[in-house]
Amino acid sequence: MKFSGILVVQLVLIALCAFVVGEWAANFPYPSPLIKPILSPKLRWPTEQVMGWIEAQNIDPAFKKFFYRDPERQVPRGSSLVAAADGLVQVADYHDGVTFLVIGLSFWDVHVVRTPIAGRVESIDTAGVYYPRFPTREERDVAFFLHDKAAPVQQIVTLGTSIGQVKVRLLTSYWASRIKIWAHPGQILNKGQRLGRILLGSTVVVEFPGRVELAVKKGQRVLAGETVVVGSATKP
Amino acid sequence: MMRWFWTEGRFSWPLVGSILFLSSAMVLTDLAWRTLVMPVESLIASVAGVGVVALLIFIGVLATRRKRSS
Repeated sequence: MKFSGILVVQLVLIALCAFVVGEWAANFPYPSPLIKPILSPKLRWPTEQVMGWIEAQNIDPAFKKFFYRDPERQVPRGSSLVAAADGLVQVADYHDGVTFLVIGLSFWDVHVVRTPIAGRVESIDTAGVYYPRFPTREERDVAFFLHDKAAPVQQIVTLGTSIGQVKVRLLTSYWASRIKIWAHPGQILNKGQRLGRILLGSTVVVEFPGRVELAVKKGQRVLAGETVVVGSATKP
Repeated sequence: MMRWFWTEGRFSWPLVGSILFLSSAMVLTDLAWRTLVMPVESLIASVAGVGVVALLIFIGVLATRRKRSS
């Protein structure tokens, strides 16, 4: 009886250890919830885990909350053009009279897409195959058939701007297949204004008319509404 | 042998200490594996090194306690 207090302390310590080990084992190879708060977002939610959630259409609420963040941006003044999305520049090239700027977004980037230049929304078009949220058996069979095949889902926002037509293509994967456009045809948008959001793994392609001198290079990290991609916009 | 685990109506402190050490070492190793950019071999060597040092300290403490009690 003399040591009952010590025994309780020991039992608490052992229970704590069992809890820590249990959490670690239950979540392995992914991080235990106990160490998640001190990890960077990329380590907290590894790619394989996020991919698994997407395929199962069951995304972790904490990741969802992180994913839906929408920070304010300091849009630079002047005639410069800004990046439309957060991510890495994958292509910055000129083809057939159009300058393409392709930005690849990772799961951990902000997925809010912004206008690269002020303008009027001329049209919003859809291209690709949509995967329904709650598919029928037949739709699911088609989905499996299309798995691993190129089935991009995209929304193309065409802006009438001072330099001509600028197109912003929002692409998502077949499995994620959800894009929200907040703008509507006829709406006048400022530079760096929110245009829409892509849900999960995605790409944003901006098409500038004519040959445009891009201030960013392949592999460079850009921020939507903040990073200047074209120093000074002039009509081609 | 039993007193290594249970003594005087409680667990022996070396046992509790070992459990605490092993579980915290496991969590810290996992954390190091995720955050430090180092080859697995180096990580294993570092963990083994820390383990050996801890074991030596543990044996030393036990030996000192035994001397005192005798």
